[in-house]
Amino acid sequence: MGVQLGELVRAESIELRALSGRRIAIDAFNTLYQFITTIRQRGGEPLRDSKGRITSHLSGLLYRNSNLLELGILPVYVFDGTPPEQKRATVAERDVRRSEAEAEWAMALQAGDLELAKTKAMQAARLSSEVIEESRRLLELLGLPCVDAPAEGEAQAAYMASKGDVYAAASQDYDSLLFGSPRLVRNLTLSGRRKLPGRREYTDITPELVRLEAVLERLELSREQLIDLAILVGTDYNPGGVPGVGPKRALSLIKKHGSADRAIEAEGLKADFSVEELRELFLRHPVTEHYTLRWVAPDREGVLRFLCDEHDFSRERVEKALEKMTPRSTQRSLDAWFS
Amino acid sequence: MRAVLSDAKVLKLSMDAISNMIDEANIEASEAGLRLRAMDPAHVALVDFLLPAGSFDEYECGSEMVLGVDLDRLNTILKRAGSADSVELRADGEKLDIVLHGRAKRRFSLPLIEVGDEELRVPELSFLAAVEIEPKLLSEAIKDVEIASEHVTFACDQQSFRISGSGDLGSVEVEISREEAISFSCEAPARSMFSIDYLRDMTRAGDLAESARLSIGNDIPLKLEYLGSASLSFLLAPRIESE
Repeated sequence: MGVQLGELVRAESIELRALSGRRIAIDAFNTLYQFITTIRQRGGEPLRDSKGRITSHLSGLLYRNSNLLELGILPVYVFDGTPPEQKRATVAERDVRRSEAEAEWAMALQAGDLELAKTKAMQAARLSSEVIEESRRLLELLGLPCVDAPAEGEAQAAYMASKGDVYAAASQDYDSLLFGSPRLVRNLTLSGRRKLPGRREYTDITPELVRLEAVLERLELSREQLIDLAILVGTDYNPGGVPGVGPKRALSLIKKHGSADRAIEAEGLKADFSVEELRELFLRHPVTEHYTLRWVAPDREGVLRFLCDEHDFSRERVEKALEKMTPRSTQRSLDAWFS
Repeated sequence: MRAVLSDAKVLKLSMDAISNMIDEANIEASEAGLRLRAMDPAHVALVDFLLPAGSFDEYECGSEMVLGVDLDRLNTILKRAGSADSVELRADGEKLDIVLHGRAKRRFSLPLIEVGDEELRVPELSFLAAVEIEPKLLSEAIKDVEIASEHVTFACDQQSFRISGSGDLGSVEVEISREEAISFSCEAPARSMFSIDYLRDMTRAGDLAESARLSIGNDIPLKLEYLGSASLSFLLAPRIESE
């Protein structure tokens, strides 16, 4: 879910190959969740193997990484640890919404409304522990590094980016900017079309790069103030934020009063959370410095056994994807020669 | 700024090559002439295009100005010019007028846009070889290699300059001897590989000059210069072969 900053943040649309030679820290849960929700058949059924086990995430990971590695982009996957106490309400609410969607999915299927069934199925999707474990196993076989965050994966990715160990954090959410990542990459896919939810319309999706410094400069805010703005709008730790305050109003409130606490006090706003406590959560989120980033060649035989023998993937397609992962050459960018 | 070219071939060819790689760019107008320096969005190629004041039939530029232009639009307009038409460019702060003078006077007006100004530095590159050949020889060689490959390897030693490529469909090599080149210097054997997509666009401009000068090294960017009444030069980042 994450904080709703989209309308205030201006992103540069980039070509994926502009990231050639760069290391990118990918929010694993965010990405897996995307695969599980979007890689589905008509009627909303996820991809399954002959034993009925879901394989949408494995398919997504294989082809996504194959495309990235072909372009010389080096992905590292960051997995969430224990979410902070303050996220409990959000997690519980999501759980309720998923259960409701699950029931509605079954009803839509019974009524024969495949379109609605698919929407509901996507809303009902969960990341089970099997999905997470199998994803890790595949990433390991593909030779890609995984990092375990003590708490939020986005905070860990932001930490790695701010240290310069990776070039950017990649997620669909904007939270990593609040956690201090100097760069955020959204839509880390090849350009393509994405269906707009609930409509028979498509929108063009292109990768975009958001630079924290540019966002702060444009909004004329400090990082602390951007965090305060997000807190007013609502984050995963205080869903809903201050009732009636959207991104634009929040921006003018922070500009006028300097901080969220002062804005709340001066304007007599209702807030059932501690700004100070939430701000700390973004500024000093638990992260680890114990990780190794090493990319090795895919274990070809291992991948084929896992995907084709265990999960019934087409051998030909997996071999093709593996081939792309070991390109004979990669395009460099001129940036490497500008000192 | 006001500039007139009775023969717009050079401008047309250059814009045709550049607009394929770069969507929008700033054109700087000064006493010296018009200059466009920009990188493609993927930062793989850098273009430096200069039309000196002296290459125009008439050229006036009171004060320096920066013209942010949608190059695709400009190219579309320039393509409308017939070979006998003279092209007049006029800019104020808001728009660029392109007037084609022929049997009719056709005025096109292109709104100026704001183009993010990224600072372009020029990298220091240690080239090992420089070869000057006829532009046509280069563009034909690229077309030859394209039959077999998406990548082109430029290699040079004391004897010859070779343009080659190989793929699943076979291989192609074009060899140009030292004697065939207009000028030839090679300190040490050099070899680098490049994407054919970019080279195809760059060599489209070939006809604007008498010679194409290629500077190469080992796994470093290529410098390709077309020098004539205008100068058009490109830097192209290499593809690096994995071990």
